[in-house]
Amino acid sequence: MKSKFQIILRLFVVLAIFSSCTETIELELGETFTQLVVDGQISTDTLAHQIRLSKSASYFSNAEPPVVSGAELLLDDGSQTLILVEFPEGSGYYYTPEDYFGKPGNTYKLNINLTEPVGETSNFEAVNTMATTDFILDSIGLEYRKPFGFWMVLLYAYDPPTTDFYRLDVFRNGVILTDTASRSTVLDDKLFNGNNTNGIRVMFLYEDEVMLGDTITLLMSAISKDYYKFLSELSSESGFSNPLFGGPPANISSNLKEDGLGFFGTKKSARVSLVVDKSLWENGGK
Amino acid sequence: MRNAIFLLFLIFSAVFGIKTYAENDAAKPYLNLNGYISDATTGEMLIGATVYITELSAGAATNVYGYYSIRLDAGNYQLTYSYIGYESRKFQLSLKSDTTLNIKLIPQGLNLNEVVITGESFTEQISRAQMGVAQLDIKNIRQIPAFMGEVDIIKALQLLPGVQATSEGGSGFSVRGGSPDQNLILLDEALVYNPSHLMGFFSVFNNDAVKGVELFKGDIPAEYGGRLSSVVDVRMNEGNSQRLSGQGGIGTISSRLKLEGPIQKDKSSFMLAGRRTYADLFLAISPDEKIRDNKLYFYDFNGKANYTFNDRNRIFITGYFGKDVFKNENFALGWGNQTFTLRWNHLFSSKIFSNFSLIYSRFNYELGVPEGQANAFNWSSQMKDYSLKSDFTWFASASNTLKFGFQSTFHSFNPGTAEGIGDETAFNKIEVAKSFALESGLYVSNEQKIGSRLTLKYGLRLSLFNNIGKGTIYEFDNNYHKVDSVVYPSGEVFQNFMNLEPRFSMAYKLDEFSSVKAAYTRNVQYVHLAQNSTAGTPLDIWFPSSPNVKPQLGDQFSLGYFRYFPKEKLETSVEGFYKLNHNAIDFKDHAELLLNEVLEGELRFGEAWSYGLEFLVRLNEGRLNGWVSYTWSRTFRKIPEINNGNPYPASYDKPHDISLVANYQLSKRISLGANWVYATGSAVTFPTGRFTIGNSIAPVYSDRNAYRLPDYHRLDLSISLKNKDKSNRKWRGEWNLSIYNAYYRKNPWVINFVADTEQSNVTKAEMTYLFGIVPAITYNFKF
Repeated sequence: MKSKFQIILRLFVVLAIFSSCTETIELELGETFTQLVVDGQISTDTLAHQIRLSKSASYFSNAEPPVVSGAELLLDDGSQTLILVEFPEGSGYYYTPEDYFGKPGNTYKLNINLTEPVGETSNFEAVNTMATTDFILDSIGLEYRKPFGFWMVLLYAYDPPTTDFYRLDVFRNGVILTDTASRSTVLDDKLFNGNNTNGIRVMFLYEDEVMLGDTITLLMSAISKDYYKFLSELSSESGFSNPLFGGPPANISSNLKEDGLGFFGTKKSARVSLVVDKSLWENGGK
Repeated sequence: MRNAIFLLFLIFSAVFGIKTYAENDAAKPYLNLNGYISDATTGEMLIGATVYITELSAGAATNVYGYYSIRLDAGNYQLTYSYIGYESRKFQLSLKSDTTLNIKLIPQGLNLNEVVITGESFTEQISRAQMGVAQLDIKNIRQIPAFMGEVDIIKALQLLPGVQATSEGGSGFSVRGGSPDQNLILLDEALVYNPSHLMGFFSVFNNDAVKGVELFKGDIPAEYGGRLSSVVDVRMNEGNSQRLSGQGGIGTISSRLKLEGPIQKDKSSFMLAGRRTYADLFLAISPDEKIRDNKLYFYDFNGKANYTFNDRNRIFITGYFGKDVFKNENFALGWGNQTFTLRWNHLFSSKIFSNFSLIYSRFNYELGVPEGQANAFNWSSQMKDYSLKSDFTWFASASNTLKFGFQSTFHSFNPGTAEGIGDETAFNKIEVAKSFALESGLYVSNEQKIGSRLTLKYGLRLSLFNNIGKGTIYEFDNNYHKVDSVVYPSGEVFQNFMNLEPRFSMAYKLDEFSSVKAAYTRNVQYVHLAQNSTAGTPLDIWFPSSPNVKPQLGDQFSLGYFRYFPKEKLETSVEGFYKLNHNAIDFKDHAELLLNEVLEGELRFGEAWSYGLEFLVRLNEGRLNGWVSYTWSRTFRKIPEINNGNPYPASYDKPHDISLVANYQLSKRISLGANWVYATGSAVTFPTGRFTIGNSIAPVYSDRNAYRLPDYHRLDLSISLKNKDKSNRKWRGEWNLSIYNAYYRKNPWVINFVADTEQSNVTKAEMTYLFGIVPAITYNFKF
């Protein structure tokens, strides 16, 4: 529910401050030491799952993140250990075989051996257990909010009585719209635990992101608590902040030991789609 | 406990000893001179007005109810009654028996050409054993250029040395490096939990209803307790006891109206004041539909009435009600403070002044999404206090003034309840457990003059805090994870805290116009605020000390030099301080403060300290008046789990702080005002590194508060034009034009680090500033 509040609260701030202005400012920032960064997930989908390795850089480096290539990545899922293959070579992207899929409840251990140490370490490990949440994704809805000029995504799903965490992403005709942390939604079920969600508004899409005839797909994934924590921290630290809401800036947690950045996560996913037909388009008031 | 009572007894007996001594000296019986000092035109009692006795080079000041009392030998005296902004009155008195002199002073403004200058008020202050104090009369505050024309006492306090605004345009303030929740803000004795309106841009104090404010920032007298950093004692007008009159204003964003008058002349009076903003009326004409649909306003009411039964008994009833409203079809948020005070002033004799008070105060907020959709919910939170208080002042002898009393407050905390509403709701009810506590204080203090130069003030406050059921207390492991919980039944006292708070100060007069003062005080704070934003949001959660949260303790040492230059009429002072705060509270990284039943698990404890030097030069009287202050200070925190256990500057650590406030009376009708402020930029945390997750660029931060925002400075100007005075006309009008941020300084409110939308992999720093040049016009009137 956090993100919904944040949207509302941000709107409120915009309204409360009638004359605020924003402009670019030149700043001198210090340097920091380099750390290894892991970014990737194992999901229940059958596909070549991607893990990306890179290095952190100084804040105004303004270039592609430095690639970590030639590393040995071992994925232990409890029953077998896979070797992930870098493709294309030198890219820092590593993949599982194409027929691989994750299983809820399994603990995934990613072991990384670098050819050259980053921050004096060449062996790293990240562990994540896939959520077993028995949620049911029934359907989604879209609702146009005229005064604000955006579409709200309505979620119809059943949340089981356990304590659960979710990540929500939206695709338009197969292309992801929520490709940045501040667009994708992460939720805990504190407010609707054990209920049907009855169409709560979980996300907004810009006016020009929804057209007549489009297929809009929601990807709902149950995630572990620490992955939820990472994603919500990422979302709040990589988006806008203001002194009214949110505390002081703080570093984003990581499950890459020792002393790495980023997260190796797992997710139990489900999808549902909706076609923007004429009646929806017109009922939306467009 | 036994030790504490023994110490209190010691102070009592010391004073009784003095008294016995005085009474036994039958050959030289002391006589008593006492009375009230009031405004001749309105009957309002004057706080801090002085009576000065030339023969003794000494005097006394009135208390917050306008009462004074001095013990003197029989004899002939020259008395001068004075108050800033009023014409002094001199009397020749032959004192033969106990005498009551109720004095009415005439405001100077009525007779501007004959300004009478008096230095007596400051010489009285020089010998008082009280430091770190500032008094601002509402008349002084009105002369300061005001943001959007709204005269605001909190904004005026922020211009004093040692006081810093925590954010641009906000009502939050830090006193000598303390957090904003360490200020005890009182409106006619009732605690105001959140003094801000409209996200802090305005304070809850309507200037029409306020008589004056006193700020204690160092040496907090023993009668006040419960906060570490300061006391802001705001007193409301009592109401004109002479005739029905009114006052008000029509401004750019709000209008005000006050009516006051006698109920029975000289016996009872009332005052009613109201204010409402109409910013939302401007929203309605906005071409932007998103903005047009919103309602955004606040209003407040102040009411007060008093009745004088006789010379010895007087009662006062005060009420305040304020509310902020923001809503549109999708969302609503409202918050407000309500306070109520019933007081009875009683003179047991001309030597013993007492006051008994019943006090209620409440702060609440509510937000939600209106019914009729799955998202509909309602979230509310409130904080309620019921207090009983009695204070006694005993003018025991010529050289001893004793104060004692007690206060007991029952706190009720409701940190938050959120639930879905309507049939369609998907939301459960989330209720953070309520909690209750009793906070009590028992104090005694004595101000003692020793010889003609030395004045001591020593006192002790015994404070007690009891957590009372029904309450739920969680147990945490070393990693602050909840491991167990205990529910205490209703009425059960499950945790007690007791602390002794010594308060000591002294003044030593070097000569007629200068003195040195020193003070040591300990303060204890039992109720804390969970708020980690620097600007004042209304979503405050107050929580009590408990088995998991120790009370915060503060020790402060201060030393000062005070001098009055009679020829130039300049008051000057230098004060230095060192403060140490034990059990200081901060929040863990990414703390979740709202709707969190295990809030205590988000807290981290450590130490905070600050030190500094404050310089003040103040010109109170004459055509040009105002002050210049410079503060150099630092403030740090050290919390084991934050910033790797290394000390870090607090966000309101602003080493250099300058305020310049000037008002110039150009002619009888025109006056000019200006103020300029400069402060080192706030300490902030900036990213030094970055990494990429998907398409998002994430920051790696520097040490906590290792960087600074650019320095803050701003000039405000104002001009007031009074209508022509016609002696047969009661209506007096005045136009006031003010300009906030006159030279368009872009002071950063926040600096965000964001990805460039046009070039991938490029990040940039973006600064947001709130205000350009903000002009405002207000028409004020009196009748």
